[in-house]
Parts: sequence; C-alpha cells; structure tokens
Amino acid sequence: MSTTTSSTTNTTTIAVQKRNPVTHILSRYGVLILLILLIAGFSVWQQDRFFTLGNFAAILTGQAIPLIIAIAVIFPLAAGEFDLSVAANLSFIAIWVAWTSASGWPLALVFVSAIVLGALIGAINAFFVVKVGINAFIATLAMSTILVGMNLLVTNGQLLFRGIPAELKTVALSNFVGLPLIVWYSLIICVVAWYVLEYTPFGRYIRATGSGRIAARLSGVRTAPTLSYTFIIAGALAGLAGFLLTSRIGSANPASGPEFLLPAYAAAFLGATVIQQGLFNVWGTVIGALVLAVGITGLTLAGAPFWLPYVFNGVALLLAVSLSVLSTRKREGR
Amino acid sequence: MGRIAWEPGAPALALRNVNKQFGETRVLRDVSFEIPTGKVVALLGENGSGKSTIIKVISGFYDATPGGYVAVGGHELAFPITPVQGHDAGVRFVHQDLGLVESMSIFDNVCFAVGFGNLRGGAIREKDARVRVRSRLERLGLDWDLDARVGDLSPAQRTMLAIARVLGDPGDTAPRMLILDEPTASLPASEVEHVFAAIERVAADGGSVLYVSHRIDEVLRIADELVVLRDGQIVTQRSTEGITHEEIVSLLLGRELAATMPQRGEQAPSQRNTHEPIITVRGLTGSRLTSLDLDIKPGEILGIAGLAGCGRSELVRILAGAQRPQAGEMTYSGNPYAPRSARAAIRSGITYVPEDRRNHGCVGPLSVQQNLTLLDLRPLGSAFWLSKRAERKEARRLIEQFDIRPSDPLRPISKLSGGNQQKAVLAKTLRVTPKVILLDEPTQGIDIGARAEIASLVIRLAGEGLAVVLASSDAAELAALCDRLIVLDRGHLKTEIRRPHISEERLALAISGANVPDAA
Repeated sequence: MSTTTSSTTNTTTIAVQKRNPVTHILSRYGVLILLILLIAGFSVWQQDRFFTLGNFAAILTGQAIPLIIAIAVIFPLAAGEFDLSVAANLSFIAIWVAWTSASGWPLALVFVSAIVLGALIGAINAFFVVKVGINAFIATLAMSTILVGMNLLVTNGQLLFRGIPAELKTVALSNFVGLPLIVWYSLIICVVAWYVLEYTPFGRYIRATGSGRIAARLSGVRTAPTLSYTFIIAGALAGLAGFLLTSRIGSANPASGPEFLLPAYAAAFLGATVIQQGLFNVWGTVIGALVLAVGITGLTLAGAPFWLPYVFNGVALLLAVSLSVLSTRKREGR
Repeated sequence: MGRIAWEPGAPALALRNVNKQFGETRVLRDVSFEIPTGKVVALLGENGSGKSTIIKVISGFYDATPGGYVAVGGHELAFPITPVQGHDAGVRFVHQDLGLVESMSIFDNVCFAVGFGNLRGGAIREKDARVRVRSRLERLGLDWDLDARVGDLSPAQRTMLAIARVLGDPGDTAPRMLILDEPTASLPASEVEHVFAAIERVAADGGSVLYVSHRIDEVLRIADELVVLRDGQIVTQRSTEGITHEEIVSLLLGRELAATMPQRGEQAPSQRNTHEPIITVRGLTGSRLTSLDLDIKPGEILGIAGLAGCGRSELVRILAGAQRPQAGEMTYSGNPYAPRSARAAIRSGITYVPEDRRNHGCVGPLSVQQNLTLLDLRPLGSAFWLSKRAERKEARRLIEQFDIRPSDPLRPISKLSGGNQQKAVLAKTLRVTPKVILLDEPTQGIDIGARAEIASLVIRLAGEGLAVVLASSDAAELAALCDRLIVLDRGHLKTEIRRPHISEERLALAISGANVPDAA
C-alpha cells in the first residue's frame, strides 16, 4: 500500500553509482533544473509580461493555496495512503468561512473553527481508514462526494459573497515585504511541515508507517495513531487553506474544489523525484508546485486556451510519476 | 510455448566470461562453468558472493555486461537475455520468492505456470485441467485439495507446490534445465527428502538441475558436482565425491575454519536450570496452538521445533505481542502479561526478531541508521526534536559492535545482504536491553559467516542472563545452541528434550513424529 515510488532514502549513499554524472544530476535535480529552464524560457519568450516582479508575485500568490493543499496531501502520502478529500474539504471550509464571517462571527473564531472543522473531517477519514479498515482511496473519495453535496445543500448552488467583512480580505492580502501575507503563510507552513517530517520522532514514525507498515508496527511504532494523525493534519491544513481561499477571493464558490486536487498530487509526486528522491518531501513539493505554476502561467500569458491547465496538470502528473519510476529502476541497475 | 531441442552432447547450461557490474562494483567476474545434462550441480556461495546475481542474469532480470556467453542445451541466449528465451530453451526456475498468488487456489496457481490446457470455446475445461494439475502434484508425491488457498499452505508446502508446477507433466520428456534457488530454505528435514526424491527423478529423466544453496550437508547429499563462488569468481568446480563439509566451508570462506558453528555445550553451564521462569505460559490457545504450557527461564536458550505448521511461529508471535491468543494466560516477571501490541511487549522488555526479515524485520526504504533506532527514539532528543547527529552516533556504535557491513549508516537497509540485515535487526532489538529475546528462524537464508556470528551472539546473550527463545526448522542449529528444546506437533507440546540429551538425530526423530521419550 506504500505510495513511495522508490526504495531509497538518499542517493548520496549510493556511492558506487558514479556511472554517469550527467544522468545522476539530471535524475536527482531534474525537476529543479526544469523549473529554472522554464523560468528562463518564458522570460525570454514573453519578456514584458513574464519577467516582471508583478508576475512573479502573482504566481506566488496564486500558488500559495495549491501549495498548502499539496503539503496537506504529503502527510498521508508519506504514511502510505491517499487522501482524496482534501480539495472538497477546502471548498467546504471555504463555504463555512464565508457563511460564518457573514453571520458576524469574530474573525479569530472563524479561523479556529475552520481549522477545527477541517481536522474533524480528517478525523472522520481516519476513523474509516484506520479503525474500520476501508481502503483510503475509497473512503476519502466518498467523503469528498459527501462534502460536495453538503456544499450545494448549504449554498443552494449559489456563490456566497454577501456580507463577507472586508477585514477578512486583509488577512490574506495585506502586503508584507512586497508580497501578500498569504504567501508568507504558505512559506511558514512549509517550514513547519518540513521540520515535523524531518526532525521530529513523529515524522520518523510517519515515514516508517509509509515505508514498511508491518515492520514498523513490530518495531513498536504506533502505526494506527500515526496514520490517523496524518489524516487529521491533512484535514486541518485543508481547512486552513479554505479559510485563506475565502479570505483571498472574498467569496466562496460551492463548485470550486476539484481543480485543486490533481495539481496537489502532481506537485507531491514531482517533489518525490527531487531533493529526497523516492520520498515525499516538502521542498521538492514546493519546486514541483512552482514548476506547474510557472508552466501554466507562462503558457497562459502566451495566449493558451482555457482548457490548458487541466491538460498540463494531467500530463505533468504522468510525467512526474514516470520519471520517478524510471529513475528508481536505473538506480537499482535493472 | 516454443520448445527448442537441445544439441546432442551439449551441456545443459554453459556460462562463459559472464561479467556484471553495478556502478563501480564488479559483482561477477569472468564467471564460467558448465552443467552437464542429467546432473545435479550445486552452486554454493556466501551472501554477497554473486550467486543470486548469476540466477538473475540467466533469468533475464539483470543484464550482464556484453561479451559474455550463456547457452542452454547448446543454444546461445542472445544478450540482453529475456525470460522468454530461457523458457523456450527449457529453463525453469523456482526462486526464493515462489511467485505464488496467495489469495488464489492451488489449481489456479499451477495453471498460471502451466496453462489451462485446451479451451472449449474460450472456457476452461475443468475436468481435464484438474487431471493435469493433479498428475503434476502427484509427481512430487503431493495429494492436496486443488481448491485449497495457497495462502493457507505452510511455507514448506508452498515451496513444494512451486517445484511441482515446473517439473512438468509425468509424460513430458522435453529436456529441462531446472534452477532451484534455496528451495529448502524453509523446509523441515522430513519434507526435504521429498524434494530430493523429485530432483533425483528429474536427473534420471535426463533433466538437469542447478541447485543453489547454503546447506552444505544437503549439497553433499543431492549434488553430483559443486561449483563454489566467492567474491564474484568461481573458485572451483568439482565432483562432490570425497569432499568433506569442512573443505567446502574453507573453500566458501577462503580460510580454514576449525569449527563451523559455535556450540552451546562447550560453554560452562551456569545456574541455568535453577532460576525462576521469567515468563510462564498456561493453556495458551491460538489458531494452531492448543492449551500449551511453557516456562521460559532467564539465561536459557529455549528451542521451539516442529514441522511446518506446528505453531512455532504463532507461539513466538503471541509472546511478542504481535498476535492475540484465543485463550490462555501468560505471566512475565510474576505479573500477568497480555500485551496488546508489539509495542507493549517491547516496552516490557521482550523483543522479537520476525521470521520474515525483509518485510517484517526491516523497514526497507529507510536507512540502516533509521532502522536501528526505530524501537526507541526517546534517547535521541525530545518529543519535538530528533537529533540526527545523536542518531548517527548511536548507529555507528551499533554497526561497529555488530560488525554490520557496509558500515555506512545512511545506506538503505534493503541493500544490505541477508546476514547483515539480520545483524541489524538483532542490533535494533538489543539496543533497548531486553530481558527476553524471541527469534524466529534467525539464520534462514544467511551465509555461514553471519550464522556463526549470530550463534555466538545468542550464546553470549544467554550467558548475560537474557532468556532466549529460538524457533527454528534448522535441526543442526537447534542442537548446537539450545539448552532445552520443545517439539510441537500440530499445536501440542509433544516432547521436551534437555541437554545433554539434545542431538540432531534425536531432534529429527522427534520432529518427524517418532515417539521419543522425554529426556530431562
């Protein structure tokens, strides 16, 4: 059930593998190199429109929420499971935030309730996957459908925008050192997530649960609670992202949500081919998310049609997983 | 399935100048040997010698360096070798990973390898297919319910199934090169004979067998010739006539060995039998065990023996907290002991080395360092901080203490050889200074050198006062190491044997079902 697509933790250990330094660097840093190439390429092609501070700020701002969702998704992935409900969770909480803030709830309460509610949804996922034992794919897929249904129920299919206080917008969009706060929030979340995954025992337990669940359990790792927590964390982060989404846009759309799911996974899988090959990791995911964002933005600026982002994300995901598999196979000498 | 006729007079399998490299490491150097038709040739070598690599090259799993020559029945297999080429030439494998689908029936599993026979309008002709499958099984003397689920078979039975399905129909006389990779690794003594009988039959029919094994005694028994591999090179190919066990060992290791295995009997007996038991088991019942009573004493090496399916592993798993018993009571240091998880057992001071080293003992993708520390991360920092430096230091200490090679703590543990993996698993469990250590087949599939190291370690642990429980199908190992042995038969305790009455013969007899009087 492990979704890690490679069996090594760190390619610097494969000291004997000096066969070809070019392919080695390409496979290890490929995605990062791709990012640099893309930025360079678009900057040359679309000089006036792409290579501006305003554009880069826009990319980072637009990418903040997808990045948070991608980080959310890494936790269950690192523990060996898929959580497909994060996007619906995001949308559901976004509606919740719109409704409660319009109803006059204090902002702090709206914020806390968003996270708690998101975590609660994660906890329900955890219950079905860990306690009952349902396949995570199915359980979270079912949950996402339920959440979408509830969205439509609550909003009657309408966009929510009436009565949303202006100060909500400031939470996400006030400027700080030239970038909207939302970008800084996403950065902080990345740092915290990175720390937890790499430098805490909990992070180690997550990796063990994802890399060899039975062996981990026999070694005394509490795999069930660990797995549960990853779902709860994913839910909480999705809730936070929902809060930030409504804050940023100033409205909540019950139909939005699905478009966040696949890019998150594409970023996570792209991330697993770089920095720490074969393992889902935070900074790799950041690079992956940026690759997707730069690609789509660049193409859009060049006049690409409206359907392009979908195709782009899908192709990127296929490529990402393929690269991951191929580079593993090469490393194992097959 | 095409079948290529062999050139008359050509050897069944010939390798010449086969090389294989992984990066900078040369794993096979100029390997050349031949297997004459109708002979059983054993391929012996320590872990890391390149035995598995040769098999993987022949099967097409690895690509050998161009320039080598591999031929079956006189027909060269063109590089890069594909599995289809080998199959068409008559090569049949029984790998250590048997390739059986556990959730499906014996019938289905045999048919996957053999084909479902002629179809009637696209559908399987059940009766005919069943007759074929049954006749194949009978060739090995197996009389099983074809609808039984393979997952319900014991490891021994599964091995025999894997062999039966490639041996061919009774009337099939096409030449075959049968390659068996450690086929008896999980078979108890009595069932090994069946396999040998079948192998002898294959050879008598003109088929040829390459028998890869660690078990020198078996090799001496079954093989006509042996090929010894060391560090990727062929050291010798000769007949098994007149060679002794010790000579083979020194060929394998490249150095003289006075004794192959440390013996418990040589150690001065301490007050072994006078201690209070540290664990008592009363009326233990599980899916195989029935009302078992047992005492486990500190400083004692207790062996658990029996045929496959006797309940050995289940007993160990229950003691380790990895499985809940259906009934019965256990005490530990005088207090009731009913662990709800392996973690609870570990925290109590009882650690476990599982039978399935690769999947249950090691977390494969994680590094040696990460595996070694997994049982207890508390000393390496706090709840919010895991000090990688402290972890590396600890890992290096353990690597040195247990002589784990290669010594790089960051190496993924899946890349270590079996023997080193097992040393790492042992190191991991011993790091938390347990009072009881439960070993299930600890030296299965491990080379002689590592086996001797592990045996010495086990003896030393008992000397230091640990209670050691050793569940094993290796009679020689049990006879050499244990102070006391219990033999289980279908979940019941059949016999208990104590030193000085422990011997391999007595044990083999007891296991195979002969009534051996309890010797105290």
